[in-house]
Amino acid sequence: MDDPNLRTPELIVNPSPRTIFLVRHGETQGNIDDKAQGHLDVPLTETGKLQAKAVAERLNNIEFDAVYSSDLQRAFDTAKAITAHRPELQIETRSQLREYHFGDYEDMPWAEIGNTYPELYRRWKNLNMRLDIEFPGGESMRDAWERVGGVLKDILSQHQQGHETILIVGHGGSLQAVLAHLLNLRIADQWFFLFDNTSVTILREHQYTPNAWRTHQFNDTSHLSGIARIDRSKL
Amino acid sequence: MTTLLLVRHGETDGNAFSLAQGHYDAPLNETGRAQAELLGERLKNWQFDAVYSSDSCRTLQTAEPLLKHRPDLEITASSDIREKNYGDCENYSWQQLRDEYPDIFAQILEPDIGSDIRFPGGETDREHMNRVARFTRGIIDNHDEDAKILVFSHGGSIKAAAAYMCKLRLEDKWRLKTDNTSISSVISEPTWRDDGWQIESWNDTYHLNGFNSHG
Repeated sequence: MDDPNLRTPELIVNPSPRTIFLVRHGETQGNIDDKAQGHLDVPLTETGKLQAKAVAERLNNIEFDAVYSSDLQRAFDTAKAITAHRPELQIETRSQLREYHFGDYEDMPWAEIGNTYPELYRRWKNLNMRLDIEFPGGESMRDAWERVGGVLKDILSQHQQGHETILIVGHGGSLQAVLAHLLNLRIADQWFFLFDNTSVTILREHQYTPNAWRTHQFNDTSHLSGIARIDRSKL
Repeated sequence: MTTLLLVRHGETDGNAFSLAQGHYDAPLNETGRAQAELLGERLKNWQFDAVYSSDSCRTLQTAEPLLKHRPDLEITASSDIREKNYGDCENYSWQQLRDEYPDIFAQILEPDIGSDIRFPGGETDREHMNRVARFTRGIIDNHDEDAKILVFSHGGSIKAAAAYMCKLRLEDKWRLKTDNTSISSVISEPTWRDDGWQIESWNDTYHLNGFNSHG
């Protein structure tokens, strides 16, 4: 049984559920080199641009009511590819949708961060300690969690008519926070969900539970078949 | 890195009418059989080190088209990953459950206690998860650590397996939706953290190409 999937009209509390699509930006050189990119404003690689085109094709029959994107170019250029042939859609940029601000660690490969700052890296890899990290010159993980929650709340408040379909283009870290905020997960549980480049995730409000969202799809990359991609198991 | 590919069975008449089927052994309906064919086409060139299934009719039937394409695959059926047992209430609609057992129905939806509530003669969510967890742990231990294991299972059991592997709160598992013949992938030992598992992808129904009767 797919849980309280009660298709029973009498029990419906939300007859006009909203839908949110989450798309992570396409590949960058920093993704290939497994670097902490954070707020560094780096472009898509040629593969990343192909991925963006492929996800645009994948989403081409979805009628979005609004498109939000991080203002960093790897996300914004991915959003631009998706809206390229849809003059009716304006991309609204939100800097709060940016990746974590890794501060002094930005542009460093994670392996080097591990060697140079073993204590911080130890806390990064222990999910119960990750939230307490403050990146020198950057932000604390807790602040990042709050800022993404804030912008999400703001976005949702803009779309209260029901039935809206909203696209959010962001980063691995910021999308994890969006997902966990929407699903009301424990904060540390967000890190069980890794977003691949240009993956599609679909969340929808539940018709039978007030103010509750569900994951209809997570990290769908089926549009990337035939396009080179990073093998995560080799990182 | 072990990969568990968790596939939900195709549609049954009980799904189409939103019944709590549990261990009730319903076959696939016409839609479900068509979904299973599409799934078989999708999976036929994938590599698997082992294939398991719940011994319920609907999961075994879902595996059939793949096995026709791939006579090299052997399937091991087990009752341990059957759906949650609803006891006296199997094949009840959700409306019937609510009308006949309003107190139990209300308690089951309560986050703090719901996981330990049962319908008469049935399992609690926690008992169900523990059963699925034992099975899942067992098959992982039975294979190499880089094995790719395909499991034909049920909506509730897939969510229970993922919640167990990724240590999610049991009360949060309904936040993950599973459609008929969807593929969900859970992988072990990611490099970005110390231990445990991660959800690699969830509820992939690309092969249905919109042919999916449930919204």
